[in-house]
Amino acid sequence: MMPLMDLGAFSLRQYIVELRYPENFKLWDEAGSLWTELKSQFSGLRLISAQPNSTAFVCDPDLEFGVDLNRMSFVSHREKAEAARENATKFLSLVTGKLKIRQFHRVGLRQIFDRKFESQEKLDAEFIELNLSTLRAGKFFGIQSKSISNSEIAGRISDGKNGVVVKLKTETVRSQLDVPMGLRDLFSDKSVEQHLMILDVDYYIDALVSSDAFSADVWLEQASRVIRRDMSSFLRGGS
Amino acid sequence: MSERAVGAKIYQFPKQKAITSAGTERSTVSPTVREVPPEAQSRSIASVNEIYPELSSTAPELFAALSLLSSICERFDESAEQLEEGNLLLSDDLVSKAILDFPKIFPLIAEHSGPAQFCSSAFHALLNKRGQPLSMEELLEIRSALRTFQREPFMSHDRVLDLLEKLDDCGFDLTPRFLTSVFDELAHESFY
Repeated sequence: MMPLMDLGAFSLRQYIVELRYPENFKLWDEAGSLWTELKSQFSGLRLISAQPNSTAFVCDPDLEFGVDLNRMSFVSHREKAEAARENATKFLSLVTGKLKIRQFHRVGLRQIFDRKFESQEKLDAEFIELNLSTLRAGKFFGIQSKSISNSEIAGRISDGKNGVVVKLKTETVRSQLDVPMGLRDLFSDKSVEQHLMILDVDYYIDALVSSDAFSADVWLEQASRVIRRDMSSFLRGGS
Repeated sequence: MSERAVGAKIYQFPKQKAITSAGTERSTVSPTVREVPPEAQSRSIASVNEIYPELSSTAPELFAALSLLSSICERFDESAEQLEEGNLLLSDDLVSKAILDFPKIFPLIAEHSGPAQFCSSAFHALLNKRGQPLSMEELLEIRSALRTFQREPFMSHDRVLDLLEKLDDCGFDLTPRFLTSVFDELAHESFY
């Protein structure tokens, strides 16, 4: 039987990398050539916003890029971790080189995983079974309830430089399709409801990191590996 | 307070008149002063070991390269000590052993262009001494360059060039010997 918190049961929903650095005004000189070069690396890159302090592009259907005066960010949706790491490395290396960034003061990889459940009850039962909270269903506040829904638990561990924030929560997402009149017979079910367990992990270094000591490729690989390796035992209290 | 602040206080000053360079009033402005977040300089620098605490399992080849580099640096430290104490032979022997360790690093860092370029040039700088013992100044300069590389193993091309320039200024010949003869040949041909 698969352990309750096995990451293999989850899908990677978002892979987010953010590097923060002291304000870098070179962005004002280099923004055009930076994005032109990125466009040659990521075909289909599309402008979302361009302001003096912030530029943002997307690459359909999965990637988002942002370069601000003091941070750069990369978001990959529903892409395999390996492919996301390659794309992130390409983007981060190019921006770091182009803006001649010498130092970062925060480096972070956030991975958001989700796992679908058939029903709210099964989702809530699984969360309770993880035994992360002492809260239990029953009759409280004059209300008789079979389960506790929309549970959330979060914790941070840090040694002052390296740190991890882990959040685990349950959520039900409802999306409603607004079908135009006259086409309603074509859509039998206009609403979709999904019951999800969300695992949100932010692995970071909150210290000065020289860009000459930092390889996005090596660090992201390490971060992903550590998350995969230790997540289950962390939530199980080391057992 | 109109602006939301997360983790920082915002002090709002009374409104002031903004005056243009022509001396005419254009509008009112409300300067705000944000409590300065911790300056980057006041925070500590993460070492390579702190950035990559799991390097031995995620990039074993890099881990091995950095371990080798560390032992090469120790040989240079010891060599400098011996030279200071007047043990010229022992000092030179330690440099020779360090040179022999260099080629072991190449295959481990081949895919990282900056480190590969630096190591290759430092290796040829030592080979080009052709057995001549290093002076104290040369020993200290190459040791300092190697220590920098140890701290910043993913240095950019520009940074590598800075380091190599220092070695060059110190009198090291960084060009691989086999290339010198090629360059000489090319120069000879272009002359005629």
